Amino acid sequence: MVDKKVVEYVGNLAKIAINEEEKLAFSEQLSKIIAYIDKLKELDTANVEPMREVNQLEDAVRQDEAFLSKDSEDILSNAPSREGDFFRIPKVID
Amino acid sequence: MSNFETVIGLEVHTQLNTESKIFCSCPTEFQSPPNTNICPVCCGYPGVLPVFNIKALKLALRVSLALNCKINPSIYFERKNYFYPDLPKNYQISQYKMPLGYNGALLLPSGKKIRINRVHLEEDAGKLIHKEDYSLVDLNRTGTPLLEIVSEPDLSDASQAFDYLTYLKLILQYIRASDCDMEKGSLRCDANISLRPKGQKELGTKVELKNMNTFKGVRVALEYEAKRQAHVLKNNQKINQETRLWDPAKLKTAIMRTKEEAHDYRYFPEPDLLNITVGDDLIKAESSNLGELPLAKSKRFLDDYGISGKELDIYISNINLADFFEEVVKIYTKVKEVSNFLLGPFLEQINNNKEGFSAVKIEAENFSKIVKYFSQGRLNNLTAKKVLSLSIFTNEDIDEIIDREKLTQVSNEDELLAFVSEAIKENPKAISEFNEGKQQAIQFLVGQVMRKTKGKANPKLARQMLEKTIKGGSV
Amino acid sequence: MLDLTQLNAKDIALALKEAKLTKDEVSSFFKKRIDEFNPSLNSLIEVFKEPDKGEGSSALASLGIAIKDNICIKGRKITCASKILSSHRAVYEATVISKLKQAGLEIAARANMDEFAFGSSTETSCYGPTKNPWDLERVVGGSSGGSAAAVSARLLPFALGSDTGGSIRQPASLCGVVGFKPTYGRVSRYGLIAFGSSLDQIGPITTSFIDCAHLLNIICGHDAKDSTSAKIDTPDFSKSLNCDCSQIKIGLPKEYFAKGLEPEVKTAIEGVKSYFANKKIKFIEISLPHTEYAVATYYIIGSSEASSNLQRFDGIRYGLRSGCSNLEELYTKTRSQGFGPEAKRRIFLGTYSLSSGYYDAYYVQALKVRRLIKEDFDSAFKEVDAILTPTSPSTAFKIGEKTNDPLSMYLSDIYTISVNLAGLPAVSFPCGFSKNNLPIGAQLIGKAFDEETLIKLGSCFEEGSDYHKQIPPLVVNKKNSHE
Repeated sequence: MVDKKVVEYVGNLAKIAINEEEKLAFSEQLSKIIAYIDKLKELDTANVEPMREVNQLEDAVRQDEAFLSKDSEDILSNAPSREGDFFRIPKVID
Repeated sequence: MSNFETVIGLEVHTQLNTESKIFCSCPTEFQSPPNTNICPVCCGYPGVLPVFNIKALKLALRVSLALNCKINPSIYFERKNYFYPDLPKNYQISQYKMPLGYNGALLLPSGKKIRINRVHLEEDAGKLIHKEDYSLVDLNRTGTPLLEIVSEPDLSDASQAFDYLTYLKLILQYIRASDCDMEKGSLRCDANISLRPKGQKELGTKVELKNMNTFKGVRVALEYEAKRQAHVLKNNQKINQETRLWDPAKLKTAIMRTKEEAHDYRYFPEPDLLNITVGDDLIKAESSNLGELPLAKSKRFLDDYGISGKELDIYISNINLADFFEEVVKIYTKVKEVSNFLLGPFLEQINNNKEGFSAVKIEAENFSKIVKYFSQGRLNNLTAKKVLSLSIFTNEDIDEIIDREKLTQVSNEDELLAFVSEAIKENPKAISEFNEGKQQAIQFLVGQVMRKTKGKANPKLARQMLEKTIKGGSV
Repeated sequence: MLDLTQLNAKDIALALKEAKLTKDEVSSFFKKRIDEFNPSLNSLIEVFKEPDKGEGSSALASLGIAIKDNICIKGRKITCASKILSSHRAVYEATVISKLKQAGLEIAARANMDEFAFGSSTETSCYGPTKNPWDLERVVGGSSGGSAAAVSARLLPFALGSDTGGSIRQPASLCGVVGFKPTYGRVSRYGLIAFGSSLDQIGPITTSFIDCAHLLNIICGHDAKDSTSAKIDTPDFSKSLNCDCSQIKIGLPKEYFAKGLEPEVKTAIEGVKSYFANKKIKFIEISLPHTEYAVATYYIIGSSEASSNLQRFDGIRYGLRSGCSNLEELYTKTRSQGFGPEAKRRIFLGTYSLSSGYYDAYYVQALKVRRLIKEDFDSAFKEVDAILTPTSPSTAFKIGEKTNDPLSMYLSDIYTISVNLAGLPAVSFPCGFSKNNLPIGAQLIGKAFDEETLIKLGSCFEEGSDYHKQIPPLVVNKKNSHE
């Protein structure tokens, strides 16, 4: 059961605020989905390794070579708020 | 306080010495202008993917081996999810269930063994600059390879924690894994500290301390926190499990967040990266890249060069100086002379330079000339220092400097005679004092001769001539 | 008047090369169709006035392609059909786009999709739903619905889509075109805005297997920028066209023909079976016993990965920003206003299944079941070379029919999801029509990195059928055409 409190907890983690009406709707819909998903618990998987990789492939690594990207100006100009060469945000209190 | 014992564990974060970032090719250069070492990958652009820098693994492996860790033969990365403006993807690629190294130990010079819980790789975050009523984000540092080294709670007081940090830093520098410069932020330290009644096995409630920006800060913060906790316990109150921030201005810790507010990081395996095999060949290669560790160097310096005591400590804690020393004595083998000059004038010059040893340009061969000329009497104390100051950060040829500055010592009686006579003539008071038996008076006169020759006179010879002349009464 | 709707892309390109057609004739033919039909279909959200022209030559050179709006084209807008990216421009090029340009294709348009590819109907797009060319009241499938509809209506010869749980195959099936999802790792994901990183794969949507094979030749291949991309050589897929198939064995998984399958769809798949049987292809009944757990497994893994992948949309570096009084408000307002309801639902589901206390029960359990599902395929492929199933349990449903019942929407992907969990290649191709003239698709699933068998079988079927040549009966909307 995904109750309103859980919905609020999850919304807080995901930084998404939803109104009371949406909370009720989400609680109902997610409960229904989770109830369906709960069928996974029927399976005994004690001896099954979780599958982290899809196809066994060779290790993928790169050598330590540095070069400057040409995109830094484009990246800064995409910022919704920019000051000089910085991204500007509201005051952060540690 | 005496009824309690302190238990401390440290979490050290250190940037690894790579050219490029851990998951993209941006430079890790520390001093670049803001937001220049950035690309779509480290800025968390939609659609980008990380590719792992093998050098980061090699250096991390070297550290794990130096800390006597067991090595996982295959590692994988996980995502640590939390929102913060210095973390562009709002998750940090880190390691969780399968760290690179585990179950290690660091034996401190005092003989105390500190167990290492784990050593794992992750990416560094960016930097925030706080203004009056807003903040700015610089992502240059984002994605710099970072190693987290977690000790077991084996440290029993603040000064032991300080010793552990100092020695750990030394090891990291020896194996060339990290600069470990706390001021540049390339080494950071958080601490877990708890108190328990003496004799009790079970650990007390721990507090996590953050924001200690120097080794001394770590020590002072831990001392403060141990006292604070003892005070709380003595008043029969409970310690709350919480995170506290050290305030270096107020010299106090203050609560940052409680256990209930602790993050739910939702770790899960990073699907954009594959397993990384840590093969035997890699382990073998990095074992041989470890080089000499401090204890071995210490023994060798004692055995090979007869260096001991405070002098030895200086070399062991300053690997660059020790390396330079060894280069020089290969060329000019008089150990004592070389060492005296290195630990004296040479170190003084370095300590007066903001950049420290990294500013040194002089090469061993060039440097060895100074020591040789000094020993031969061609340079004296003053001129040797002057030559060094002109060459240490430039590597200008010593012979050329001596030539240009006309610094060769005057060791010729004929040349000195006029100056000696002048000094005696101008200082009758000193002569009478000397005749009355005041030995210091001669020193004054030697000084006068040195001044007149602009420091070039051989002081030994000048003294001999002065004494001879005064005693002979031949002026 | 010139009619290119009956030609596949490869033949149009050939005619251009041989100067039987001019570039202008081809461009204006498709431009006219776009002008006439796109307003009512809403399949292309931007048609470039000056398309990005590629330099190289290939069997498909100088033709225009539509790109699902979750693949980065440098300098162009890229939105994932979400308000949160509505004004965002790509600063870099996806690897597949570079490859298309190197092959001489023109990047012609951005195609509509479900927001962030969350959906099976292209109804969650911030640009509004794409309409099915066969019946404008019906959905086009999703999430690559814009791509499938545009190709089905012959607004362009072909398109790229992305497939996380069926997002290429299911709309291809509902629109009567060929939609191919390659093996995980066959096509670089660099520049594809991630939904489920361990599930996503880019693939072609075409009107025939011939075009499909040629497009695969262009987009496949190892990419050092994608760690999950396979270091495996790309075969010439066109060599698999029209080969002898008599030695191929096909499996029919009994779980895919159980309840919930519309009789008309079942009949059409049986038609495919008898066609192949006539070609001496052997059929074996197989079992994929964990099939019933696939949807649940998929929704945990896909949503979990998505919840994390979508955390980067925070209003700081790019995209929408709302609320500026403090950081917390900036995050929550930006994300609450920027994401639509289905995106939020997936983010909530994913965040929930990764959160402390639920992680082992949901996420880890799903990874374990994922292995069981993959092992089902591994054992099946010891006996057979390919697996034949329906693509979707039904033909296109009505717009709005399932929007209030997310679970029933999720279950419409029941036949396509396992393939992504197992990382296998699969293709949907037209194999019939319902009584009310809606296309039906069949799905062929292959072994990992064996796309060739699927192309052999598909092109063999195409030789003897004309379902893929059927063109939706579109009527020029007078009002739109005069605009």
